[in-house]
Amino acid sequence: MKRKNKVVCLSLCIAFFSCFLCSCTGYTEIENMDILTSHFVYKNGDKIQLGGGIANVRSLSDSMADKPVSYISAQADSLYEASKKLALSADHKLFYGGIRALVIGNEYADSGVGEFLDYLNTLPDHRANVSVFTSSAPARDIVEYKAVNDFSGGFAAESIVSTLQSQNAMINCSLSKILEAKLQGVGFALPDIEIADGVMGVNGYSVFDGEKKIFHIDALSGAGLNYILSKKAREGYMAVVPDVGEFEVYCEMVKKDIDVFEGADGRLCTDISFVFDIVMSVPGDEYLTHEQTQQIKRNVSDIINKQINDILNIAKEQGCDFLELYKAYQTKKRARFYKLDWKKMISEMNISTNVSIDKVKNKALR
Amino acid sequence: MAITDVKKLCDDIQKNNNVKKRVLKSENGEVYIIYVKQLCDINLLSEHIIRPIQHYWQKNDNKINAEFALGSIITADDCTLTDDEDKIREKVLSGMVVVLFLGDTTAIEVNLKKVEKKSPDASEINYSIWGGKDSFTENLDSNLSLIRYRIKDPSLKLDMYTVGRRTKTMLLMAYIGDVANEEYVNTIKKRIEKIDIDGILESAKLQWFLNDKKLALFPQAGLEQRSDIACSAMLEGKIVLLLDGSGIALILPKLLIEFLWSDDDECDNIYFGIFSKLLRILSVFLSATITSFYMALTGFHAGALPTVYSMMIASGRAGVPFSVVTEVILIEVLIEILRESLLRVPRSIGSAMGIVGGIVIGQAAVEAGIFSPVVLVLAALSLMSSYIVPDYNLTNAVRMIKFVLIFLTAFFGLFGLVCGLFLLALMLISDTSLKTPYFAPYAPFSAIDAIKGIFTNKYLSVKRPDFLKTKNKIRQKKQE
Repeated sequence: MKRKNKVVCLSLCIAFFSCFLCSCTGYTEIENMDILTSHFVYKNGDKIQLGGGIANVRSLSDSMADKPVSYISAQADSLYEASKKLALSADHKLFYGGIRALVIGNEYADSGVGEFLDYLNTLPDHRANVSVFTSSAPARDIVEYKAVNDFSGGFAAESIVSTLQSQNAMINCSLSKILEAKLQGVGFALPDIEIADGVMGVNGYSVFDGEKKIFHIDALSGAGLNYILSKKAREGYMAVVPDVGEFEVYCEMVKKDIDVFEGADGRLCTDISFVFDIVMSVPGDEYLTHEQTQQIKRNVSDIINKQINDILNIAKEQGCDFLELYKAYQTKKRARFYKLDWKKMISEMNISTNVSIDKVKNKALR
Repeated sequence: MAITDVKKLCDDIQKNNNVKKRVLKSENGEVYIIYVKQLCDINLLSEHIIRPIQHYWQKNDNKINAEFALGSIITADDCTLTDDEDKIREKVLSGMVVVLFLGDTTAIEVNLKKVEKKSPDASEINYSIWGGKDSFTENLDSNLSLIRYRIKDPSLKLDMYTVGRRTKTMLLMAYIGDVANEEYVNTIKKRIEKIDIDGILESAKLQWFLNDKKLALFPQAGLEQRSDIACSAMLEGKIVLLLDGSGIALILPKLLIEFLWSDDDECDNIYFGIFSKLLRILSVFLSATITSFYMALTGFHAGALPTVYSMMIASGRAGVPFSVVTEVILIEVLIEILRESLLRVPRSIGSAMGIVGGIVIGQAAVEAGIFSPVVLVLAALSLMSSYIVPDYNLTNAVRMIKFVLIFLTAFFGLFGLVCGLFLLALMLISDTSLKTPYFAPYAPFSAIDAIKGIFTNKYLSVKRPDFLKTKNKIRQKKQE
């Protein structure tokens, strides 16, 4: 075949296939869709309430607009019915590609989120990296929350968690992580959002085993979870040094090793070691002595060790791997992992932790 | 056809109203001088032909013929003997003075052409910050002197051709004999010899006879007004063609990537030169695709947009009566109308029209809700990006491609855009300029030339690019 004919044939083939792969039917203009910026589900008595915040695009062009996001909701006996009602109540096709936050009411989470996850999976344009939260406050309040520098409560919740995550003070959980955990048959932890005294904030984590919420970890105990799950955790403590005083101390994780393996007795062994640097600010002319510094190191490492052990023990007691220990095991023995009763292995695991402090930086020293 | 009857020949030529005949008579014979008054320098004619003949007759008493007059009487420097009547007719009409002697079978052609000369001026189509400001003029002799002034190499070849059955326009093919690829020279020679048309009056029109593909969308020859760039191209082993009466040189071959390079890149700081080159590549891509990309994202793949952008775009489009496809096509056509009209009107009116057009299309159209602000910004960005290309010829091709991509995207979304770009790549890869792959050195790939093309300039590299297949590969001696 001549080159010219080849080019013509190739062009025709591409045009032909493109008609089938992406035809004009996929064409819907962005302003003719209701852009969902947040999506929520919660239990309202016996009913399921499903809804979200829709970007009020016509008012966005008006700088004085006070309601950039409108509220849409539907109530029904089941999630399926609620979703159908929601679609019927929307004046345009709902566009799920703009969702920034998925908020799950705690009561609904207690009863199981499997159906909701399946529903999310069927949504067109849904994003796998969307942040998911639980909320003790009615999810509607979260969506309708008036944030100072965000369009809506959904945006604000995402901003709070992502800001804390960027400061290594918290871990975020995306839809893809949840779906992966569901697939692997392990647990996961979601940030819990609340509105206290009219201000939105993080209220710890909701721990899920499979589809159901089984446990709540408060914000202060969440540090252990943060150490195990994040790459560079950072937490603040108060360290007491006799004869000198009490100092605010920040611990920055510089090294983390998580080793999960089967021991000789067939039980799971979890060896976790951390190395931290300490940053503190000791005012005054007198510097800390070597002994005092060592004492601070011991104090802080003890606190951290306890926090890590506490969180590991919760996982052990609940028989729920929400700490992603399976990933460490899978990297070595992936095929073996699928043959094990992982829940049982977690509930019987041996825990060994080691926390050491490397450098102590005194910011007051110049 | 030999000269048989001088009087009859003169009368025959004089039938053309413009041709003047001057007869010098004495007891020793008659001399007929035929010329076109508008094309000849009358003062030189009088000084170098009429006066010397009359002076000779005053002092001598013998008959004169063409051969004797050429050697002893006529003082003009550019003269030759001829005995062909047909050639004499041609030469007179081309501006030569022909001197015939009664009873002689030969005549003298004297070049006393008077051409309205324009002094070399700054180029209007190839603007440069650093480069030379003398550009080619409509006079071939002046252009030749500009080339000779810049290249004193004895290997400089200047081949003359005549093209056009009726116009008999002189065409100069200039190249450096021991550098230029012999195949290029022979190919162009063959193509010039094949030209059989009434006339060609502009170098740019000559490209239709020299291009590999007649209906190619992308330009295959460079159009250059600046003499320094033409000479620089010759030093690289390229062929330069200059047509008498045209102030533009045709450079062959010229490849796609070369259309994006400016002469300033070689004068600027090396890093800035690289930055400028990369910026131009990006701009060409943006110019061709940005509005299509916007259409694909807003119409087909809104999920690919970050939430805040999708809200912002939707907010801008709220109230616009047209679909995004219609909106994009309308704004692009409007901008093209504005661009085209500004090209055709006098400069003094053009600036006023530009302001009115800018205000009407820009502010008023957005305020009236005809267009969304985003599409206006993107269309303007596309227009500006297209003009970043130093060669205007490529700009037009990119603008045409843009419309093709817009239509493909309108039907098939991002997939259509990608398919369009894929077909464009196929087209560019299959094109050639003077039988040299148009996409070289990227297809066929030559790593060294590909890197050198962007990340260095020719004054920093020892060898000429391989794809030009020059006789002499070495551009400069390697510095110790």
